[in-house]
Amino acid sequence: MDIRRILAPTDFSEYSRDAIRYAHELAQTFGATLSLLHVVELPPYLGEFTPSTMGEDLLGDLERQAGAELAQVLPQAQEAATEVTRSVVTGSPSLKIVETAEAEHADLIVMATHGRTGLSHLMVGSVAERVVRTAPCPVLTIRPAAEKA
Amino acid sequence: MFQKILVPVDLTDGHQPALDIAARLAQGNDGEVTLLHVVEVIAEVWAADDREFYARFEQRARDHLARLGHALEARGVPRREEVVFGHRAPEIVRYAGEIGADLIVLTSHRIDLQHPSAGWGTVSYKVGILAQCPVLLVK
Repeated sequence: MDIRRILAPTDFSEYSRDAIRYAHELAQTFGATLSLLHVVELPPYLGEFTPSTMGEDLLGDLERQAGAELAQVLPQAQEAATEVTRSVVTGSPSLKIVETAEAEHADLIVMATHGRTGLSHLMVGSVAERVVRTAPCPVLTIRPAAEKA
Repeated sequence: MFQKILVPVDLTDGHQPALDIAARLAQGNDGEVTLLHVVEVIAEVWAADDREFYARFEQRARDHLARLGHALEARGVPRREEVVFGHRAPEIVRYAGEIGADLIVLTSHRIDLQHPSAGWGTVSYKVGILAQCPVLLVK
């Protein structure tokens, strides 16, 4: 089995940094491309009670902010030997991660078991748990370093 | 990064993708693969008291692991084989801690998207939650 394309979703949390580090090291080991992904999750009130133009403005701001933040995830110096792509999409994180894995023909997804809330993402119904169950490819889940002791 | 890789297997032939990826990771990191089979114990029949009952399960498991081990050896991957007794998910997690595994590679069944909750009780799912090291689930 070849690992040529690695997808690493990030929510910009401290927890996801470890996962990105693993993903990057694996990409270097296998000479794979690394695709960094952030999913902007729409607040549930958008679209229901907010005038559409206001919603579009807010969404645009969120996507631009996420794009800028994603550019900082892996400093340029570290990328030298690895082809890194970045994308920001909007929607349900677990669905978008799986959709992106399918569209990019990812051979591996690397993601943290915890997110911004600090709660385990492998709990039933969580993002990582849904990705693990529905992904079309292998999924490597990374636990926060503090928990490993 | 991943030098002690644990690959728990049952006695079916459905683990080749997991073994392939474990071999690739071990080769890329000068690592070693430990093949593990957990003989599931029956509550009323404890291994210590009924060695004979479990002996043939153990032998069958050792034969199976040896076959898988030879395939790894042919690829130049250092490997060990271990058979333990207990309940699969907690025993895999315990054993991973005991040997200081830095990765568990597990075969995970594909989930029927019409019945996604069907995967909640599987061994791979439990190990994914309980393990203290990274877990790679391979379908």
